[in-house]
Amino acid sequence: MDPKYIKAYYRRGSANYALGKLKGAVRDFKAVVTLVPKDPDAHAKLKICEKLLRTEAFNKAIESSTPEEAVDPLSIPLDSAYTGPVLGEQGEVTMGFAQQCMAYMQSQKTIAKRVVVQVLLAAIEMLKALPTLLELSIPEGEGLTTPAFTVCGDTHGQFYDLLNIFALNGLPSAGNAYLFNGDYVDRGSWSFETVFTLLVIKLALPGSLHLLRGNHETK
Amino acid sequence: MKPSEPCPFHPAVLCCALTLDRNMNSIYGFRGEILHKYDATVMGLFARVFNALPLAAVLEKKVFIVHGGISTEGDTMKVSDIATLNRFHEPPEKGLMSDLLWSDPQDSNGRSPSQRGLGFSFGPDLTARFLAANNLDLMIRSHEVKQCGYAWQSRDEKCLTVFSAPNYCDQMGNKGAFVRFTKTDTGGYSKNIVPFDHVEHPNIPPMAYAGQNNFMGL
Repeated sequence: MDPKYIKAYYRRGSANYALGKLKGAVRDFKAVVTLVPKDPDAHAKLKICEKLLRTEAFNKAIESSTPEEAVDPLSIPLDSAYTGPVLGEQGEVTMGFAQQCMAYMQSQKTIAKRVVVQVLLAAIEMLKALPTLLELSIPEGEGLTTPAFTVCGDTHGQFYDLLNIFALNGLPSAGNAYLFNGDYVDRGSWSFETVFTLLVIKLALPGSLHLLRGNHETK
Repeated sequence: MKPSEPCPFHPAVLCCALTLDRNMNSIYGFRGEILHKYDATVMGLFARVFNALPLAAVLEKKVFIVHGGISTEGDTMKVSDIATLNRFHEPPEKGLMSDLLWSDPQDSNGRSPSQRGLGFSFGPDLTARFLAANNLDLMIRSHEVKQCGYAWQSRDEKCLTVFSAPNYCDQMGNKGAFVRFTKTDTGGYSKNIVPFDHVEHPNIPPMAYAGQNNFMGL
């Protein structure tokens, strides 16, 4: 490549960024900045890539210092001013608890970290015990309502749209089963609320809500 | 629109359709969101949750459900291969687990490299062969935004994409959809594809925690 061909560096830098090759992207945008020092756009993009690279390095450092150690939720303090949902002493997760969580998060409040950790630890244990390939059935009849099994696709952090799915199609129940087909997180800015809701309902009704992994369910 | 008509596919904007990176949560917002709302301990627990999620399902012994699609390298994939897979780790760059999460259907027969840079695209012939070899009727997958919320791979209606994030990224204007199965009197099943519109949300834009602002200008 012609070492002075600015457009090529710029385009390769953009491609490297899109592929997550941040070191390559930084190198290419540095070349653009060297060749056209007064270009504000190149400076801006270089800054973004360098920041992402630092964030990546920071995150890797955090991970290596927090391996899969035991986390004791009861050692996490609970703010006395917290008015949100809590789990009882037995830690049993019910649909009532799930609905409290959904309502609390819908009004943009934050569930206490202790409660989140309790739920996640329980979810890990439940999910680990499941087979990699689930064999599922449409529920049997209960009462007058026709039992159904609903398959949903990506939800991507769109918590308010998830709540709308339940409003349109009914909350999960013994006669109204759901499978969510992955990609609960990323892009939408309520990814926590989306995936947490599904995990809580999974704990409350393990036979009525099923979760598969998507490509976004990864670090 | 009748469910049996293929939905027109509108090529989606790059940043919201084709995911070109494996460090998903680090780039696309989830990690940033969790570090903002909680901390690294909670993020570590989510990583363990994700590694424990099952990879595929079969409903009523006839409907195969997976996020991306089928694996098309070598012999026709058997559903039993999934059952024996060790899933408890980050998805590898290639192989069965990667393909289940990343692959996409394509219009033409055969197999071609994915535009995503991971996995492969598989044609209707490979879909049909997979279903026949595993005594299945239908495959449902997700992974791609569709303007109507759903789309069939081809007119033989063997591979259905269903996507449940309407007005994806607050930009796409697409509907979401879900598929509702009920039992028939004769012991089979019937399905109803239900599209739906987006609802309003509080004023926080997509990717608010991703640490970048629409870098590609899209």
